[in-house]
Order: sequence, then C-alpha cells, then structure tokens
Amino acid sequence: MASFPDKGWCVEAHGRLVGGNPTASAELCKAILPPLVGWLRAKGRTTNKELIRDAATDALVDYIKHPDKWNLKKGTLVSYICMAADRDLLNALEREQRLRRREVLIADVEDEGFDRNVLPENEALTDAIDGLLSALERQVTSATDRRFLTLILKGERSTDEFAEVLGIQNLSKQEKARTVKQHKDRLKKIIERLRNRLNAPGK
Amino acid sequence: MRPESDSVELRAAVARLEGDPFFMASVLADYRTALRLNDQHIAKALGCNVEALTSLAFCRTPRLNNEKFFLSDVQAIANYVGCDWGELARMIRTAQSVSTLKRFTGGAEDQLLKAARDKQGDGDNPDKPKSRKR
Repeated sequence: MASFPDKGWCVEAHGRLVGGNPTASAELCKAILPPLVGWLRAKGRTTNKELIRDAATDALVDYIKHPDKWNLKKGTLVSYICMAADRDLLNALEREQRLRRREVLIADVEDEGFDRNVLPENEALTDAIDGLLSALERQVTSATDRRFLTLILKGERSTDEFAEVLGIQNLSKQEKARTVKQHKDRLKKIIERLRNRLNAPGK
Repeated sequence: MRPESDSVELRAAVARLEGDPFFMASVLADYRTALRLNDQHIAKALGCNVEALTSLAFCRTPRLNNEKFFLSDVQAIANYVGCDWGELARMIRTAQSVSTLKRFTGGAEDQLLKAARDKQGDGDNPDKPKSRKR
C-alpha cells in the first residue's frame, strides 16, 4: 500500500497551494490520493470501490479548493483529509442504505403507484416514504417485529434468517416457510394501512 | 515508478474531475470532446507521454482573466508536466473558446468542431513558430 507523505512535505505543499501555484493541486493529489484510498479500504467500512474512490477524491478536492479550512495547529494535513474522507464515506453509505430501504419498502408493499425509476428525483415520493418509515417506527413496538421488519427493509430473502428472529429454527422447512410468510403478511398489512392513512386526503 | 493500482485510482479521480472547471481535467475533456481526439493525440501534440496527462489533469486551470497570470500559470504547469507550453496555452484557449461558444449557441456541435479544427489547422504549418506569439 502506498504511504502518506510526511508532515514537512505536506506543510510545504500546502504553502504552494495557498500561494496560488497551479501545480500544487497535482502534487497533493498524486501524493495523497492513492494512500488515502488504501487507508479507507483498510478501514473496512465498505468494499464498494467506487464509493471509496469518490469519498477520497471529494475530500481531497474540498481541501484543495478551501485550503484555509485546515488548521495546522489542530492536526496534520493527512489526518484532516483522512477524517474528511471517512466522514464523506459514512454519509455516502448512509444515503445508499436509505435508498435501498426505500426501494425494498416499495417493492414489498407492491404499490403500483410508485415508480422506482423516478425515486431520486421525486421529492414528494421521498417525503411520503420518510413519513411512512417514521410512522412504522411508532407503530411497530415489539422487539421481534422490529427485527423482522429490519430484515424486510434490508431486502433479506432467506427464510432461515427470518425464522431465527422468530425463534423457530427447529421447525420443518414447510412449517418455517408458512410461519415466516404469516408474519411477513401481517407486517405488510401494517405497512399498507399506514401508507393508506398517510395518502388519505388532508394528510 | 508508480504502481499500476495507484495509476488506476488516479485515472478514476481524473474522470471524476472532468466536469469541474477548477481542474485542467475539464480543459482536457472539453478539448478531447470538441476535436474528437484521444489521449494519445493530445499527448503527442503537447510533446509529452500519456501518463503525464494525469499530472496535467490535476493541475489548477490557469487564471484566464489576466494575460500575465495566464502565461505564468501555463509555463509553471508545462514545466511541471514536461510539455510544450505554447501548445498547452493554445489548447487551453481553444477549449475555453469552445466552452464559451457552446454556452451561447447551445452546442451546435458541427459548427464548433469546424471552427476548432480550423484553429488547430493553423498550428500544422511547419513555417509557423511552435510557441504562442505574444
């Protein structure tokens, strides 16, 4: 794995950047980007290479465009950029997870009115789903149901995973499948009822 | 020499910066698209190797609103990358013109391409000096 440049080099490069040298950005990108990507990978928050690359690039570019944000007295340049990249990556992962939960939710309630292809652009839809998720959190209070619902929202398809939550691993395959389906249907009905209530006129 | 994995990461970052006018990556992308060239063509015109284009792409775009600053920025970049500063200056000005024209014409691509090629054709005259006239 490529190693980060030392503190002295970073301070000098920072000086060139602040001084308006047009090549300082290239020096910094070439010296910091590869080890930063390696560091993020080693941290193990995700295996998604694209998200890691984007987070590393965005953090570095943000520093290059606003070098005054870094305060030398508060820490090294490398630690500042690493923290920023890690924060960007966490935010990106959160956005991705949220989007996935929404897609699964839509797929599970099988609502023909929702077009999954327009999800990111449709603010009204986003608001509707946010409302639905909050209402669900209030409505489903049982710990088992919450764990079960979490699996549904994660897109889990394995009956065994659901069976484990319900504590029915020892039942026969058919029995497990039947019981899991009953619970799924019950929770889907709750989701549908909440959705209908949220979509009702005046809401 | 840089490991291949580092080069992959750097090239991916360059691709992400192609839409950001702060970086030379956007100038290279505009020029490449307008003249329908590839990196080999651009590197040859600049008198450098293709790998040097990655370094070039990460440089800040020269200050275009002041001729003195523009020239000093271009020379500093050319010196760092190891390319012909006159060609680099011409390339940046062409990309800038194409980008400006595109904004005003809404992208009448064939006309822009013809204009850009005519301009580039000037540089093919062997009797003309390579570096930009002042």
